[in-house]
Amino acid sequence: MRRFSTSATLFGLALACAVPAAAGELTVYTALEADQLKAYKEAFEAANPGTTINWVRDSTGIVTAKLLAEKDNPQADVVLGLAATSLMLLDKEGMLMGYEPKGIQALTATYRDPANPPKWVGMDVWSSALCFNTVEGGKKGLTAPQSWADLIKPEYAGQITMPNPASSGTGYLMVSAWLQLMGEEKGWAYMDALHNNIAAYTHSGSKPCKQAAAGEYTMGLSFEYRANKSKQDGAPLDVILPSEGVGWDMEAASILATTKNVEDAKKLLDWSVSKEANELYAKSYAIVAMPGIAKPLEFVPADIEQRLIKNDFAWAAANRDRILAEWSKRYDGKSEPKS
Amino acid sequence: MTAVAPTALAPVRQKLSADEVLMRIGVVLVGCFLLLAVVLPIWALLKKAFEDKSGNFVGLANIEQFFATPSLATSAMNSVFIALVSTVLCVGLAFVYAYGLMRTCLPGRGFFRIVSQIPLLAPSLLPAISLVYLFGNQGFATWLLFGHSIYGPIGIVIGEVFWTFPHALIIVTTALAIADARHFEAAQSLKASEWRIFMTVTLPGIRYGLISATFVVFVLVITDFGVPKVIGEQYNVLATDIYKQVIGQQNFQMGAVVGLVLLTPAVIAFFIDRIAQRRQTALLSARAVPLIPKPNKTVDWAFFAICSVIAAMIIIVLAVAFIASIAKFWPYDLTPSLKNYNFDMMDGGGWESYRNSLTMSALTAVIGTAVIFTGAYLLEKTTRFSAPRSIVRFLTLLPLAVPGLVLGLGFIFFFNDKDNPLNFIYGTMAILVLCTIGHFYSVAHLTATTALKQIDPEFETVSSSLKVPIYKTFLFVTLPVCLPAVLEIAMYLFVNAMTTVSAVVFLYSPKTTLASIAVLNMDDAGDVAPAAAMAIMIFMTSAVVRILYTIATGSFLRRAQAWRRR
Amino acid sequence: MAVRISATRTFSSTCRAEVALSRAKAEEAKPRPQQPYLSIRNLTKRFEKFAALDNVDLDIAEGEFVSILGPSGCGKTTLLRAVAGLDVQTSGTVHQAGRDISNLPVSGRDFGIVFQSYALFPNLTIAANVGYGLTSAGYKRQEIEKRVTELLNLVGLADQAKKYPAQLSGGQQQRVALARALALSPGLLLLDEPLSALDARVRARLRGEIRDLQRRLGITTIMVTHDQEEALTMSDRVVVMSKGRIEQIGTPDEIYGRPASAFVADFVGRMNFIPGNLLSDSMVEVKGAKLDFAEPVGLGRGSAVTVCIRPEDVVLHRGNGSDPNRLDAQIGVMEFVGNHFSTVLHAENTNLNISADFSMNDVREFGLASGKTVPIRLPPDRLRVFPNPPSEA
Repeated sequence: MRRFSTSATLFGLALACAVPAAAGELTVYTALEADQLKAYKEAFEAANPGTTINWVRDSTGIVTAKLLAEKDNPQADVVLGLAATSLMLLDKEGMLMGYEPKGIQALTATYRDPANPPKWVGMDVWSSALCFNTVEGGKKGLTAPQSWADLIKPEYAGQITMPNPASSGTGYLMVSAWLQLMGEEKGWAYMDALHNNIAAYTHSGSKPCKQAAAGEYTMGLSFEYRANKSKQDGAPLDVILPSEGVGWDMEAASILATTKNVEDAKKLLDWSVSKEANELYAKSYAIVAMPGIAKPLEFVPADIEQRLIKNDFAWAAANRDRILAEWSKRYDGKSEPKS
Repeated sequence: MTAVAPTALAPVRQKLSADEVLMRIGVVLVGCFLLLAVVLPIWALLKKAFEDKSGNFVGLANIEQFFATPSLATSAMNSVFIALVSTVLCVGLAFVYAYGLMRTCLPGRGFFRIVSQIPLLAPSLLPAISLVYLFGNQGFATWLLFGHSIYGPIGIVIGEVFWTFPHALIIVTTALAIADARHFEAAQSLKASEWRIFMTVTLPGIRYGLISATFVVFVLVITDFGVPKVIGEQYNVLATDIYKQVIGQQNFQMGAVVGLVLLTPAVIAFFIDRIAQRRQTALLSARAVPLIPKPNKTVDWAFFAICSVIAAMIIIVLAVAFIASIAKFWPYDLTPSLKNYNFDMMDGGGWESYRNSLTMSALTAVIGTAVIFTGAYLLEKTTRFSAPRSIVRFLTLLPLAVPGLVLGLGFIFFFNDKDNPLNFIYGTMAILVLCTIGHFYSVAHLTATTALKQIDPEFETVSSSLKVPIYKTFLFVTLPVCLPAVLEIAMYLFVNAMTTVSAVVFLYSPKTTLASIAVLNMDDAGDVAPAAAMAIMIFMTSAVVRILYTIATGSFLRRAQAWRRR
Repeated sequence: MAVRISATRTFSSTCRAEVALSRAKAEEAKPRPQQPYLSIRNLTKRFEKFAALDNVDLDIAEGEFVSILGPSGCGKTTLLRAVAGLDVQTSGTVHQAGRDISNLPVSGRDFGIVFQSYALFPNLTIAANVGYGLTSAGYKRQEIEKRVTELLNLVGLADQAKKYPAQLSGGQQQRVALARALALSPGLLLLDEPLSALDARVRARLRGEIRDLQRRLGITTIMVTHDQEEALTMSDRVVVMSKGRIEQIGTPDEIYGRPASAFVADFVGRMNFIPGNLLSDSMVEVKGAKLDFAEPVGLGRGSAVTVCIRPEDVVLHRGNGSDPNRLDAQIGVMEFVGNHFSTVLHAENTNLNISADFSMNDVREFGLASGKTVPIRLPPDRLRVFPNPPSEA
């Protein structure tokens, strides 16, 4: 053990700058977009002085895998903004703590875990969307697809990117939606055909739309917030919600059963169902958990709520491992590195 | 005369002086440091490769599974292919460039030298990002690829050649520097043709240098993941697989196996390189007459042209990243803007990660230089104690055989273990500093040792005979005399800590995001231009440090001229 | 190679100040006058199987200047390093001033040391170098300054105090090293090939200066050298070593004039080696010539021996007497080597060839020339007879 004590002295200097986790600090795992995190953190910390958030952000699949891998020694106190399907997986492992946040009554009844007290509470809904670069489309003489079925047309070969469902929640909700819309057999056949048109499977759900925005590829399968944002930033994009209906998932929040900081964790969940929080969600998403707050996004069709498919969360969560394994077996060769 | 009776022939054991006790403790401490920073993490990784998820020993099961997984086997083939092609191209180019610098009188030698070092100042992600802007679907010069895609093997190879180029160049230049002019004169006097002289004198003279460069580049490429990560897209290689297995699927066992697979070529290369270097040094005869190239218009201008093309490519890659980073919305709106430098709105930790990188690099430079230089001193100057010294000396070279990616992975396994009393440094700045020092220990150690060998070996004897404690001589004589080497080590550690991705990618935490990792994460999220911007920030920081180093060394030498002038 | 001991020593004229160093320490460390200051007993140093020092005994009196002379690898440096505690012996003891220092670390011993490389600290001034040990010993600033000035005066470099070592010549640097080694008034001065890095002219001058300084300070000194001229000119006594053993200890005169072994005879100065057989206790037969010799060897008749004589000991026979060891010899090729002629003589009616040196005077006086036959004599007291035939060097 002397080895450790002697080296500990060697590191005295280095440690001086390593801030130990103090009370009042929450380690929050999230798959929210980086450009949303700052506003959420500021709003929460302003409402709860003395409590600070340390974000650990990555794509949905990574955060899920990380949480599962850390099952025996969880580092997170709270998960905020992770797909409900993923939280259901964690719940199955017994990792979540039931808690009914103050003010949960104000939320739409379906946007929460039906258990009592709920293991997770919904924040907002995000759904898939297609970004089509009109400039590049024009150059190549391509017309924008209007439906999922259009995407497998041969002229789109090598023009499409989509997120890898193993790492990206956005990717998984698309795959899950196709399988639910078309049935397993036709769904996989559709993806086989689509695979021929895919230039690359990206790590994150945002990247396909950002690449389409930069014209690197003509179109990218992404989600509505990113599509809207990219177009706001001046990209020559059409934001398309395919006609068969779009896949969706819910971003939700939950407390880890193992947290040592229950009080602060509860504060964060209370905040997450508040009106103020929902107003923030509404800046990014067209559908939020608290009724009457949502307002249409500038470049996303206003009737988006009607276009959502009927989503069986329980099925999507229960079959996640099987679907991802099958997907990886079929298409992993074209996946961008990092899952 | 018999006052002093001859005692029995019992072996004499010399009493230890305070200095010797101090130095031995120091040697042991340095050994412990290396144990912590290199040996135990690697051991943890090796162990993990033979365990199942619950930690039971499973023999070769994981390794069998690796070879039975077609995608992983394909990655291994891809890795070898990429590494081979990149190595041949890189060493070839480096040879031509070095030949121009060392054996011809081409104009602008100093300029070419400086340009060749540019890739060392940026993470390997930078050339990959530049290549996207150059040859991607919206690139400046996509037509040059004649319809081939930059995403995949072509892009990986070009990127790898770019960032390994200075490594190969340094080795080949050193090899070319030690030619004996008399061999050339002898060959010329025998009326050998230029070609024959080249084949019979030039090439054999540097063959060990070329072998060394070949293996160094091969290992750098096969273990690099920055370039394939950014531009490889669907083309999988082992270095990205290890990352996928560990980060993407949190499959640590398989990650450890891939780590083991990557460790193998690195270890082989390590031994071949050591042998080659020893032979190369042996070629250097004390009576060699340095070769001074004679001007030859045709040859000089030919090499000027070739070197200009290579230098231009390096500059273009850097310039493109810079231009892309200041364009408002590539490729549709090219008005200059600092929008992409607004890192706080992006993935990767924002400006905080840049500040973290500065802190991490500064700590690495200060602590690393102190530990490494003192360690080298202790190993050189401690008397007797030879077994522990040779063990520790071996440990100082071990990092050369360990790819950063593998070391980083080992760090997770070792430090994230709940039973490790040092578990608390997991997720802190300390673990990043420790890992980075461990990763770059060997080269810095060799620099220190070389400098120490050049000073008089009897300083310590003289001070002991004058009853001066050793630490005083170390502080007041050795350290000042070796200051240029000390500065060089600090600069080397700082720049590498700024640019490294491979080891620390597994170890950063939300509080300790780093600039180089931010480049990676921003690129992942599709924010390619901000990624380029951050890479440029890293480059500029490294460049500034390098310039400061040059100024500091220069002023030191001027100040020290009083006692250096002969 | 042939060297006569030069009668004139170049004494230093640069030591301007006659500073008598107080050597209180040495005074009190003198319990009995007859007891040696440094006493080495059974000193053995083994590396694996090879013995670098093999049972060496040596006594050195207080104030004595002893040189250890021998070819490289003979163990002379190992002996010095054992005395200094740098490479401690495998077995055996070293006593200094009555104190057993056999297993003390370097810093626990009492000596000053000067190396071939000077080992001056390049980043410190001359004054700082000389005062290096004083500063650490906790003297006051004025004391240090005074002592440094004293020491620099002693070596004649007081005006160089503010310079850096690299600005001094090699000889000057070595004198600084000497001053530094003397700063703490050690009881013993160790010189490890101190002059080898210098060029011939400087070396000759510094030889005298060091010797002069040593005499004035009365400091017991051991010098290791491979240069016989250095050893013979500077020392009170010379220790000749070979293969880890002491071959001979003696005054320079003894070493040169009466080598105790064939090895010493061969290593110091030039020597004719002639194989022969003993005829009696005082006569030996060499290649057909019968020669008398003075010193009995205590071997039986007919024993194979080697007869040695230095080329300069071969003399021209004056007068007509039939002295013993008179031979007629034909002069071979005459080589002019500066201050004398060197030649090979062939003794008539024998197979004996002997190298001989003749002074310019002899050559002129006797009209010596190649091919001429002259009477020569090999003085019996100059003949050395050794039992072991050495390999012809």
